[in-house]
Amino acid sequence: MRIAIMGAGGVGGCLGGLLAKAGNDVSLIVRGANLDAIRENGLKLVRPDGEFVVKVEATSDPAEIGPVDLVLFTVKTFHNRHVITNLKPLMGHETSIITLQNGVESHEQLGAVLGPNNILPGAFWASSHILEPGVVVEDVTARISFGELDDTESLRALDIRKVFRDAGIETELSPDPLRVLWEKFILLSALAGITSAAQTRPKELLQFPDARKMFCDAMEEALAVGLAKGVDLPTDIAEESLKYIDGLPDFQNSMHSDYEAGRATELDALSGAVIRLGKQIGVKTPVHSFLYSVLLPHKDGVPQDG
Amino acid sequence: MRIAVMGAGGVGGRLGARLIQAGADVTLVARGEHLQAMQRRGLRLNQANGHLTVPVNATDDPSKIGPVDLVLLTVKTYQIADAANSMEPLVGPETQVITLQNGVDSASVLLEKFGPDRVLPGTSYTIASIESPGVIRQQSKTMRIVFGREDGQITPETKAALDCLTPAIDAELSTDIASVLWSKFLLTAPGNAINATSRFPITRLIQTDEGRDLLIGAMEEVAAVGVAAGVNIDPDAIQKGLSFMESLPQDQRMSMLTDIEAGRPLELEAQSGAVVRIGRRVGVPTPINDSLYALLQPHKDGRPT
Repeated sequence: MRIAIMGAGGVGGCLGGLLAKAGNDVSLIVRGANLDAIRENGLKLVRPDGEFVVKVEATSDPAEIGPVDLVLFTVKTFHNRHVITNLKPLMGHETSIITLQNGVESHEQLGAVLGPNNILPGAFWASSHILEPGVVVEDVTARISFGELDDTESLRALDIRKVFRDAGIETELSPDPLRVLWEKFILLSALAGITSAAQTRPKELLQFPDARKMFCDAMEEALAVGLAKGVDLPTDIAEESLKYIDGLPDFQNSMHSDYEAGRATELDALSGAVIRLGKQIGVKTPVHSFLYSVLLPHKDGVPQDG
Repeated sequence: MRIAVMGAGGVGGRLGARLIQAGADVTLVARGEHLQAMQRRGLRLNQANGHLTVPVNATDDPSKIGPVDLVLLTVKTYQIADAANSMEPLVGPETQVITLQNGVDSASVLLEKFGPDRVLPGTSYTIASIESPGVIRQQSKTMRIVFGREDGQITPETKAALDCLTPAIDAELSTDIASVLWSKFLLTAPGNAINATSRFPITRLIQTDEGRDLLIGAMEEVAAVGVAAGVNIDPDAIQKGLSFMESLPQDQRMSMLTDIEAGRPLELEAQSGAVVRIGRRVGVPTPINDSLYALLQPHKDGRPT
């Protein structure tokens, strides 16, 4: 399959490496030092069970690639409004796009520019990051869930699933991708918000009963917003998510890492989206409003505080 | 009159130096490197327009001082329990103890131990901190203290304490000290916690609608708790608090932000912790202060840097 990946960070690099190794025609759209390194040395993927280097096409200009069968959209959400139009040269008559980002709004943002029919919302679970230009580390094995917005099991979706599975990527075709996005969003928006504002990793923070309660309250708010929007969600999601996080080994949330390093954060796609969507549908979101207010000065990276 | 100052940090050091300059009989109680530096070189006060050094009597052992007429307790709130025990030798039957901590329940340990006839809750208005051992940096030009008996009475003992302070210090005896403490608390509890949680200067934070609403909301919670606890709260307190914050220099960091950045212990229990606890006792919800308290707890005892 001819595949273009927009955004070769932790997620895009990991998937690109695995898909290329399985023999797909993969092109990465990437910039700067990462582009130079991948052109020079190929893409190196360090996995829990070993590492490999694979040659892939890499460019900063989608027009050099032309129409493809599949686009994986894996940029950070705050880049969306700048890069969505750059996807146009990749779009042919049969091109599908899977959005694999945090938040619940990306597929709509892409749909507004490119038309909704070719967009399949998806979610990515893993822990992967760029170690240095051209080198991606996958700490926890990648897992993907995606599907058609109209709940059908389309031929194209089945084809894509086969390509992913053949590349060794654990892939699920969901009949309700919005539910998948929201399940991840409810957990992630709360976790990213509280661990960033507390500047404390989940393992340590959640030892404090007050922080556990706040985490659950934040998840309940996002759940209420999702339910009001008509998304089919399990009502015990806060409880289940807490169990899930308690069961994970020590890790640091990526927004917390971005904040700590002075980089831009996905605040607008997380707590910001809970608040925005809550307002639209008339659901109050005081905990996320609180988190948004205290994290706002750091949203675009290191604040100019003289 | 013999005076002992328990805790020679920003507030205690500054008060002690002023009193010594005015000729009072003052002993500072301090520890460690700061004590050694003061014993060797005196206490140095740095301010914007220069510095001065004052020779001081200082010790880490209150039993070497014995009972005094007046104790100024200026330790951090999380040091009060230890200080209450170690200051026993200073407190005789006639001794007056003025507590000058942040918060509204900081005097409670002392009141319980020494009784309402000897303990005068109070507060100070100044910005000063230890810059290095033996050196205090005075960031605000002025320093003022207000204190008074919990029951509001003016007694010969409280008058005597005031008279011994006023030649050197802008001091006031209040007949409603709870109201005085809460007026300051209304501002410092939310201000410090928001400043520390956002890790951003509060004067600039409240230039955004979100930051301003957050501070106002948190102050309203504290005011409601105070009213329910039976305290006289100035109806304009929130507006005054906001104006004060707006008047601060653009990059002013409140002490809790400085402390969290330096990995030092926080006065969290005396600030947000007290709002939450008293709120629960009087049945007033404090959701914003609850959140601030929850997110700062991991940093309460400081962290290794």
